[in-house]
Amino acid sequence: MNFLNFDLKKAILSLCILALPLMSINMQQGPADNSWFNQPFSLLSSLAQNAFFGFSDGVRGTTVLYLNLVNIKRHSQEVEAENRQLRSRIALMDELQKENGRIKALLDFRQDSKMELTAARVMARDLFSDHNTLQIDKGTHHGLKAGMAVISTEGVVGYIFRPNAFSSQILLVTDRYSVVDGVIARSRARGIVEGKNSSTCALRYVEKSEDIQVGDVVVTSGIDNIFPKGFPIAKVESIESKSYAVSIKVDLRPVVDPNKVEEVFVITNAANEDLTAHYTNASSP
Amino acid sequence: MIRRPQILNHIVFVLILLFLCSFQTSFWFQIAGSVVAPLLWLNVILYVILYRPRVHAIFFNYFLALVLAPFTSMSFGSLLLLLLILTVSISYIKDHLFWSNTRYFVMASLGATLAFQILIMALSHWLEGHFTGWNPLARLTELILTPFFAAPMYWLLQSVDNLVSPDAVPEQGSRLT
Repeated sequence: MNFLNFDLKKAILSLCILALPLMSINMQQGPADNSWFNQPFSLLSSLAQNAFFGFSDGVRGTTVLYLNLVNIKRHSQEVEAENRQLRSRIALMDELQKENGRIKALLDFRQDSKMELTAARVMARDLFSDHNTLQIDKGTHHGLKAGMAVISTEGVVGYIFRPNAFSSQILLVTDRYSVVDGVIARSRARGIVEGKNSSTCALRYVEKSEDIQVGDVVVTSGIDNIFPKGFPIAKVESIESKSYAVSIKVDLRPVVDPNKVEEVFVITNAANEDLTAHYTNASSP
Repeated sequence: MIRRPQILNHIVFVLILLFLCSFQTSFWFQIAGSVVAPLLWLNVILYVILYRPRVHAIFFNYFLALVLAPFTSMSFGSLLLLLLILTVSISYIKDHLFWSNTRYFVMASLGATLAFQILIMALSHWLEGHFTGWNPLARLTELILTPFFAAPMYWLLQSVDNLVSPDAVPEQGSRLT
C-alpha cells in the first residue's frame, strides 16, 4: 500500500470543505456580532423583509380598514335605523302627550262645569272656502239638535247648524251667517258678534259712547241659555270710530283658532252656568 | 233611455265624487292644515260638462249636487243655480272651442275655477244678505291647486268611461272654429 500515492486534489477539496465551517466557528465572536460577509445579506434580507412587511402590513391594514368600514357601515345603518325608530317614538310620544294634555283639559273642564256636555271630534271642513263650517262626529243619534252651542276649553267655537244622524255641521263664529250675543268682559258693553271671514269676526251695533279697548275680551251674554254666561268668544283686535256713524266698528280675533280645533264640546244643557267671574279675572287686558 | 252600463257609469261617478269630497274636506285638512284645499269636485263637474250632452250634463250635475250638499253649508238652491250657470257657460264655450286631451282639460279646469270664484261672489252679492269676502289668498290657492289635480283626475275619469261604459262618451264637441 502506498501511502504517498493519494489524490492531492481531493485532499485539498476535503480540507476546504471541513475548514470553512471550522473557520467560521472559530471566527464567531458573539451572537450579536454581524460578520462582514453577512452584512450585505442582512441588509438585503432586511430590505426584502421591510418591503414584504410594508406590503403585508398595508394589505392587513387595508383589509382591517375595509372590514372596519363594513362594520362601521353596518353599525351606522343600525344606529341610523335605531335613531329613526327613536325619533318616531319621540314624535309619537309628543303627539300622545299633547293629546293627553288636551283630553285632560277637556275632562277637567267637564268635571268642573255643571253644564251637560257631549264631547265630539272634528272630522271635516266645508267644501267651499267661502263657508266656515266644521263637521263633527256626533249627531241626532247622540242627542244633538240644531242651535246647540259648540265650545272648546278655550272658548266659543260656534253652534250646530245642520245635525245629521251620526254627524253634525257646526257654523263657526267666523262664518258670515253666524251671530252670537256678546259682551265686553271689562266694561260690559253689549254687541252682536258676527263672522267676517275664515279667521276674523266683528262686534256690531256697539254704541260710540261705550268703553272698548284693543285687547278686551268679548264673552257670551248667556241671555239665550244656549251658551254659558261669560264664556270667551274673541279678543278686540282693532276699533274704528267714524264721526258720522252711530256705532263703532270693532274687529275681533276669535280665541279659538278654527283651523286648529280638534276636540269640542256640544252643550246639550247650559244649566244657566255663569263663568263671568272666572274669565273676567283671567282675561283682563 | 238610459242603458245599464250608463247607470253603472253614473254610480261610479257618484262614488268618485263622494271619495273626492271626503278627501278634500277631511283628509286634506288633516294633512295640509290651514292650506286651502283644491276644488277636486269641480273637476268632476267639469268632466261631466265636457263629456256628456248638455241636457244630460245639467241633470247629472243636479244629481251630483245632492252628493255635494252634505259637505257644505251652502244652500241647495244656490248650489243648483251655481252648477246650472257653470254647466251652461262651459257648454257654450265647449261648442266653440274644444279638443279632447289632458292639456285642454287642465286649461278648462283653470277656467272653471276662475268662473266658479266669480260666480260664487256674484251669487253671494245678489242672493245673500251677507256678501262673502274677497279672500284673495284662498281664491288664488284654489286657482293654482285645482288645475294641478286636473290631469290625474282626467286620466281617472277617462279610465272610468273606458272601463265602465265605453260608449258613454258620445259627444266629442265641436272642433276649433
